[in-house]
Amino acid sequence: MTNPRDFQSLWLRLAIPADTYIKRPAGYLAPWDQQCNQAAGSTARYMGPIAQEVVGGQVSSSQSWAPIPDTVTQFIGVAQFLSDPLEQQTVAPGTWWLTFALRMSNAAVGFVYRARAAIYCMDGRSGERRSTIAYWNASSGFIALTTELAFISPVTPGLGFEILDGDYLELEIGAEVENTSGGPLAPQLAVFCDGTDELVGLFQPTTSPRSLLRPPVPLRRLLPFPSEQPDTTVDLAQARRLCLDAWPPNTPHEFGEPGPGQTRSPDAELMDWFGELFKRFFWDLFDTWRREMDPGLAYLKLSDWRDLFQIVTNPRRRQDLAALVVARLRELSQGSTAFGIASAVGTVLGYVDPTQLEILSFTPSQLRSAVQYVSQLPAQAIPDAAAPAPLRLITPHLYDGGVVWGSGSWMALSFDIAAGKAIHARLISPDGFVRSWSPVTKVHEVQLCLLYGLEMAGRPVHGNWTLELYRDVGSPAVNLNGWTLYVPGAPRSIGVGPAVPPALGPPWPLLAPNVVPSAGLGRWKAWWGVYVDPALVSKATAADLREARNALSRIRHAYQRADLILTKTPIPGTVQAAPGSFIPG
Amino acid sequence: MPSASQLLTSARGLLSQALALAANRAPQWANGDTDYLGKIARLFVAIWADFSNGLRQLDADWPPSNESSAESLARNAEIFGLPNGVDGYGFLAARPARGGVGIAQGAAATPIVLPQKLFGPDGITEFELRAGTYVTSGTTGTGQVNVTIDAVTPGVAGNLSAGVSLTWETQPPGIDPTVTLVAPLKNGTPTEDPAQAFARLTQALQLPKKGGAPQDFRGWFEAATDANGVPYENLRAYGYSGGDANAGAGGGYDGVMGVLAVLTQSGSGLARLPTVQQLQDSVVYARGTTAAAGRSPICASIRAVAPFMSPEVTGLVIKLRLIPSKQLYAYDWRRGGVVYATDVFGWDGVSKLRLSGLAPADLKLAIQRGQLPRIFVDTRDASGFPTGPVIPPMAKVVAFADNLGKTTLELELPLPVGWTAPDPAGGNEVYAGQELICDPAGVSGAVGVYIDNLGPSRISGLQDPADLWEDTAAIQGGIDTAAKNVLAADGITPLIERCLVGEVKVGVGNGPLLAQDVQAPDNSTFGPGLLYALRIISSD
Repeated sequence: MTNPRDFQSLWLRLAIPADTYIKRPAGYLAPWDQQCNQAAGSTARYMGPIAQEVVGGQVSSSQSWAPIPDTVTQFIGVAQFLSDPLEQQTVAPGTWWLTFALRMSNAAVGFVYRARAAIYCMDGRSGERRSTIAYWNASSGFIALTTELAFISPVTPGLGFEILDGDYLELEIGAEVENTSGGPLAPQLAVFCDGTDELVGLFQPTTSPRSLLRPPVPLRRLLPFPSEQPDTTVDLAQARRLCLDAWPPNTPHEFGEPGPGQTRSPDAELMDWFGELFKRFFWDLFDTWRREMDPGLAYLKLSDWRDLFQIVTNPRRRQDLAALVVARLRELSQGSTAFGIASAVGTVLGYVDPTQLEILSFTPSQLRSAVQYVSQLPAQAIPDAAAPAPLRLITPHLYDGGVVWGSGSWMALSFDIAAGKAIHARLISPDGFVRSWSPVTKVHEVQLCLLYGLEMAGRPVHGNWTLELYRDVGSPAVNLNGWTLYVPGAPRSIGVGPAVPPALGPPWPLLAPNVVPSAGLGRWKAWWGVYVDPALVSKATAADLREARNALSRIRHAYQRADLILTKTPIPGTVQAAPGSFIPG
Repeated sequence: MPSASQLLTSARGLLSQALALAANRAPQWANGDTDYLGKIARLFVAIWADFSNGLRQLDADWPPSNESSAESLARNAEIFGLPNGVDGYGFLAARPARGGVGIAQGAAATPIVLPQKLFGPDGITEFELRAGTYVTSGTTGTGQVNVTIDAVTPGVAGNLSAGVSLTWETQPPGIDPTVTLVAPLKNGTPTEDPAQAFARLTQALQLPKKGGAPQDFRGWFEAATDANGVPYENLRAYGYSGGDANAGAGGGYDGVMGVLAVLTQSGSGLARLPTVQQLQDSVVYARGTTAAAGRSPICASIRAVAPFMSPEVTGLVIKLRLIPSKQLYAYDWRRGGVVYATDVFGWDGVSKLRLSGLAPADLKLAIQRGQLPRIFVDTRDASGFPTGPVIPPMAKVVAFADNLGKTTLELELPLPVGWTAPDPAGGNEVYAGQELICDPAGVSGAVGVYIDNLGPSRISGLQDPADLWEDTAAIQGGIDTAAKNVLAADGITPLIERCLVGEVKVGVGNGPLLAQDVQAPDNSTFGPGLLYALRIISSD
């Protein structure tokens, strides 16, 4: 069924009156001996595509029935249901299914019953029968059970029938009661609907039946909404009032309400009709349209948004699809900021408050400890200037293809005594650039000194860094206890290799253009992740996570890496631990 | 179909419902065609039907869809800030053609004072000389000078080919009244049509600009301009900022902080390689220089590289055996699975081609009947690589002679354009021709177009996750489908019924032909490879 007005399930809803805007039948049509008029004619009940959702909330129809004389069988009509107005359709012969529940609490041997039902097509303009579809026993034989029981009955009429525009279906359910008890007995008979139990077997005990009429083919409503439009902006009385107010003044007609004891004037009826017409086809339709224009509230137009954004996932719940659409719209309105990421990805993941989305990344201190070099050598004596050579320490080959950031180098030297004013240091970058501190401190003697080398900015990180130390002749002997070097670099591809022009064809150069492969200590600096908190996520299907990853791929900048992190305590081999993804320290 | 429109019923249904409502609310009123209430009902229905048409269009207009009205698309293009190409928003405005070169002749050493305007052959389309210094050559007698001409009138009317003459609006003194183009004016475009605008709008909404997201880099690379600020046409940038471990996460081909794209231009085969200038200009456009800001995205390196295209690694030889759809499209003679090849030194350099064996009887019969049956040769070099055009041209056979168990075919002169001499060592296979099927505009051509639309290798898994392209020459759904979809001139009849099962084969370089898909390789040293066709053979 592609048209939203199509439906094939007519739930029997005793709790809902039949549509106010249809011409109801005068009463039952089937030849019932006794009739429950509390659910028939002007008080008929509704059947349509609105299913009951309150668990255990069944509703019954019954009344005090007259006694049935001995040896008499009577047909008792208990409830009448009317559908929404339908569009024209020819319904070929086919099987109709009816499920509902009955209870005759004083049934006994000699006072038995069986279910009975009738379906009609009604002329929408007159409220009279257009055709009889079926009138049949809805259970195989008489029973004498006193509990509430389910009845499931298929019926296949031999003829098809025609629905004309504005017609509706009418269903009557009741029972055939046979009294052979030896005296008159009043049946305690009731019909039950509006429940939530699926009825799957004849005589299935139930206390909350989900009663249903299912025609052989889908039907199409004439109006956009089933039953009455909920939460209307304009009710019927207001609609009538608006029509009346808009009518030219000084019109000698009796549009008003009739006085006590008076019948309604034809003019008032005309205005009633205007009110009904404009309410159903303008104000109610506008309510629906207004809802559909809002992607957060829409039902039907969500599929249009889904097409526009080419959303692959097709969630079953309306609100999940709406969340995906809203998230895409939020992508339009937000930059790739932490807030923007949360507003989109958090919405995809179904967070009630998307701003609770946790975005993980390295803190500057974590970053620093991750990429700084700490010398593992034991304490070394710093020679004086007269020695043949200074103390020379060389780092291992730092495997990072980037250049030193604009902040330059940062170096910590630790001495065994307070010193510095007589100590001279040189830091030599892999490309031979030298930054000297001579001496390392000028005012105070220190045991730990921090040396910043802004001049190192732009030098390649990749390679061996060299530290040379010596002290003034005659100065106190001093040992270097420790050395930490922090030269934050960035990418693995940068122009540190030989300049190789772009290659267009053979012969291909032996060196790939400007790439230092496999380097990357500095990679983490643009590497972040979004933590999917199981306590906050509304659901976590693979499809939802895929949509979240897709969102990240659109939001993150091209030079960044952004992971979807499913756990903070990954165990390799589990589905939550994506190999290689960012796991915070 | 926009979905909310389905809530609206037909006028007929509405009338019935209106009258049914009247039966419920105003039972004292008659409702026939000539009754008062009936007339009111019909008035209401007529108005409502018109109103519902408006609602249906509203439904189609928002959100934008391929059923949206042009007016709505234009509005949305403006609201969402789609550039119109002339410092505004909306549909792309028509652009004038640029870059033509004409020869102005006249008295020697005569300067042409700017500004100067010219008119095209239609007398309407206006052109102008680009800023520069133009003085005719020589010192005495007559001289000439090359002038650069741009259209003033926007649109395709300014696209003029070489040889066309333009007329001065006001003839410069000493200069001939017309200027003849020696290089065409190109890239004049009409106002964008709504379908194209919708595609751009969809792209903008699906992949919103983020100032450095993969989709932004693609847009920047493809919007690159030359030194004159003129955008390059038909560039396609394939981004490689994707991630391997956590699908779509990033990390990319050049690692975090590095951005890489493979750039191609539309064309066929090796013509898809960008120029070095295009590569450099693309990077400059995105990254900027010390002199020009560019887009200045935050990252440490930006690279645009050419795809790796090498005959040994990414060059394809494609051979199809197929069945024509009707007798009208039958091959000129029947070759089938039998191999006919050229003989050693079998080409006389003029018109005679000797086979290594005897030609089939029906080829000879067709020749004897004067039907001029066609042949084409899968020409190869000594290493087995195809030589000559990707789709070998067909030559007509006018005569034959058998001698010592070999047939010599005499080809019609002049030989077709692109005719390539077979390898003197012989062994180049000879195939039956068919006017439409084996033509660049037929089945062979369609296969070529399919191959030319493939993108570079995705084997690394590092391509942009939101940018989908094919990198595999696929037998089923690719070559086979492209071949079957070719229609005859009537636009209805397929040229072929089907390809023979297992007889659509692809080989790489001079390798064996196999009935299996070939994916573009990536050896990571030179970047992603791009498949291209070295040879396409449509055989019977």
